[in-house]
Amino acid sequence: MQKLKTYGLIILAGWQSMFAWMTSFVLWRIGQVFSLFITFSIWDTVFTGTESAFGFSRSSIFTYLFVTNVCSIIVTSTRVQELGQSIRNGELSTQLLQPISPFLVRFSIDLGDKLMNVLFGSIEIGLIVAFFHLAILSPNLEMIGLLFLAIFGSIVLFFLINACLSMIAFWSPDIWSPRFLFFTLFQLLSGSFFPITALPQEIQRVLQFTPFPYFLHLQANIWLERITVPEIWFGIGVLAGWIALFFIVLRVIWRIGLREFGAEGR
Amino acid sequence: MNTSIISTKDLHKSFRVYKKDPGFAGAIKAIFSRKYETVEAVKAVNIEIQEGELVGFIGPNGAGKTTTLKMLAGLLYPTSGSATVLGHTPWKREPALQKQFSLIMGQKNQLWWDLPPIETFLLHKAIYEISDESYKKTLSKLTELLDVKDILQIPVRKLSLGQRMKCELIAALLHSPKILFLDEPTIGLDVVIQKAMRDFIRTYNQEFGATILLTSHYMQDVKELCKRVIVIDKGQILFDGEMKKIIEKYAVNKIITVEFAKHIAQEKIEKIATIKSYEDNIAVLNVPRKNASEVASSILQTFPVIDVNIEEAPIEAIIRDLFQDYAKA
Repeated sequence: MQKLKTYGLIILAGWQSMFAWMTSFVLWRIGQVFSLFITFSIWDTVFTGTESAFGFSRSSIFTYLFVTNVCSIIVTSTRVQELGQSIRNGELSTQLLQPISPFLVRFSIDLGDKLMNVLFGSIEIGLIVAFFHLAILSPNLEMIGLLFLAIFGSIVLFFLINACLSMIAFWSPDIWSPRFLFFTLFQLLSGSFFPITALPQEIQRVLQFTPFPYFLHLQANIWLERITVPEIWFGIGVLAGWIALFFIVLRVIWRIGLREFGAEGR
Repeated sequence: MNTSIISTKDLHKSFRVYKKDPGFAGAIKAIFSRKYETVEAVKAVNIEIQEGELVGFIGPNGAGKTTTLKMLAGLLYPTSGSATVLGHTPWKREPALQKQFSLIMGQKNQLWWDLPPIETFLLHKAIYEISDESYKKTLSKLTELLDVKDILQIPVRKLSLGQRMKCELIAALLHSPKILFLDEPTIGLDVVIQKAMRDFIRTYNQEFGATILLTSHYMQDVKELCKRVIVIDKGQILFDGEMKKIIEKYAVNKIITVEFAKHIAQEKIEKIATIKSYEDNIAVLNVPRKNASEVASSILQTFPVIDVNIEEAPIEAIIRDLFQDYAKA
């Protein structure tokens, strides 16, 4: 209970820090609105004069994009990259000295960040939906539990992969480029710009062996009931497998990395 | 029986450091072939510190002081050797140990930069599981001792270095640690704040019975606070003992300051002792320790003297000589 209270206080402190720099937050959100506007505009143009494309009806494609973008707001709003910076500038020392897990501190700050982004993101997506007069399909309420499980899994996997990439900082100061590469692949291959099913079959087959379809595409398919319950469980199982793998990788890198850590000062 | 609460045995730490040739060509060359060098930061350091001691840990830049402190705080793994702090191996980072010590580094922040210090204090209260009663009592005592009651609600980034350092101290002491590792706690502070910090460290050591290992470039800190000093250079301990023993062992000269009743020719004084300075009939003389009384007596008999004063050479000079001797060796 005491631990939970501690992590709750960390979330609150993270929010207070965020409010201290409101301009940065507002500009970041405005950037997100533009990105959403462009994605929805392109698909609005694609569906001008036609009722179906890439196996999707107009309402189902916009529901797909709605779900993937809402999930993307939740999943990608992360500050775990700050772990890499703290390794580079030695600030990690402060957390290593305290009787608290540096990862749970990061995860708490992340959760706080997500809650704030979800709040603002919901308003933005609501505005986009109203602007394009979109009819969003409702999910099957029986699947809501599985949908939330898949979203939570996606959050954890995204956190773990980014934490692993941040820990490159133990060996190299260049932590930006691997993260940029991952984020670009994430945007292209997880479904936030277009449905993965729009890609050639060969690429889709290869993608199944990567974590990308399980970040957003799986969740959109659950919402739209485009996959069966056993397929949902299979997807969640694969997601759990990736989480387990990256959890082990994270622990190994952390253990080895700490031996390399120089605790340099500023 | 060994009652040390900090103990190291042959503690050794080496770093692999990348060396880059200068300029753009050097940067390109480094992509294909990098040169590395192994730096021995700490070599076979053996330290024993008893409960309640306030020990000065001194040495020039790069001597290995901070590296040793970081190993004792569990931030760095040693290359070889062992250490125990309150019976724990520090680099295992066990919460039971973490709740009993603090490391304060003069150039590092643990306070949340954008928030007032009080927010970090509340967070520390939760992290270290400090009871409400103990938190209130300790915070009240520390804010009073350090005179910072009025700044606890101001964002850290708006505070002066001195105010920030005082708040860093409070954040580090809220859980009433038994051991304090202080790494340059007075660095960059003005003389008034330096004095306030020194007074506080002394009080904390005496009132709370805390064991303190202090590094500082300001000899004044060490001279005023520490009975025992450990001198380290190039990763090796050169001296470990009482401050006065350093003077006895390494101070070759004493300083005699003489105020003459009238002007005396410099050549006449030089026949008796080496002159460090001579101005307004006041001469400062450098005299071998064993001859000090003899020289003073000779001056009194030879010249008209108003005042004479014999004192030890400044500790800074003694330590400097010690390092220079070691470097030559």
